Amino acid sequence: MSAIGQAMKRKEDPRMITGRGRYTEDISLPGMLHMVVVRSPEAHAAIT
Amino acid sequence: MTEPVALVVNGQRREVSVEPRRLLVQVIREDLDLTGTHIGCDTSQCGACTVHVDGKAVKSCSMLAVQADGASITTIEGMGSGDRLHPLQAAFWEKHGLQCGFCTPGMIMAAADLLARNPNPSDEEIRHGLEGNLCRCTGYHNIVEAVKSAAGSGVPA
Repeated sequence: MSAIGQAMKRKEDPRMITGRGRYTEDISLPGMLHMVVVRSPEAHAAIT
Repeated sequence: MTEPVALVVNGQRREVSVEPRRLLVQVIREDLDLTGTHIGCDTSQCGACTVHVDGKAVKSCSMLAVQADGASITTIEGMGSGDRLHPLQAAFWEKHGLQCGFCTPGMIMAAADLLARNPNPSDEEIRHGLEGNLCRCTGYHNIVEAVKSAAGSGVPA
């Protein structure tokens, strides 16, 4: 009951303030593949 | 065609071999596995990539790795020591200066440089000093409070 009405420090913050958050781009798994989107250099063209 | 680049990163000597076009942020995140530094844009606007190069805040997305040859780099992982939080880290936690936390490492690195140059900034000076760092979550209010609080507790330069 003593926590009610009190400001509580968040549990997830220690990781994020020390740079140990795991955002999608931070994840590195063995054998993982990378994807790059290659966009057409032509605005309007026929693929031959 | 790679070039050798010698760095001191968070006090540790590191050597990498990089293409000249490789950005410092890519070396930090991919070659050195320090993923606390984030990439939040393609335009040098967001500041999530902010680190210290020879003591000064730099957007690591806007520097080539080869330009940092011989430099001393500090990343968010190098703030504080062991289990002791840097005053800015503690203040961001205490003052709820983060929500998703993505901008936070960059904010802390930029704020550390700001406080080293101006140890007692006004709200206005904090906001101006952090103009290069964007946050989508907090509305900046508690970020300013956190920086003020860290300044009040005496942030080491």
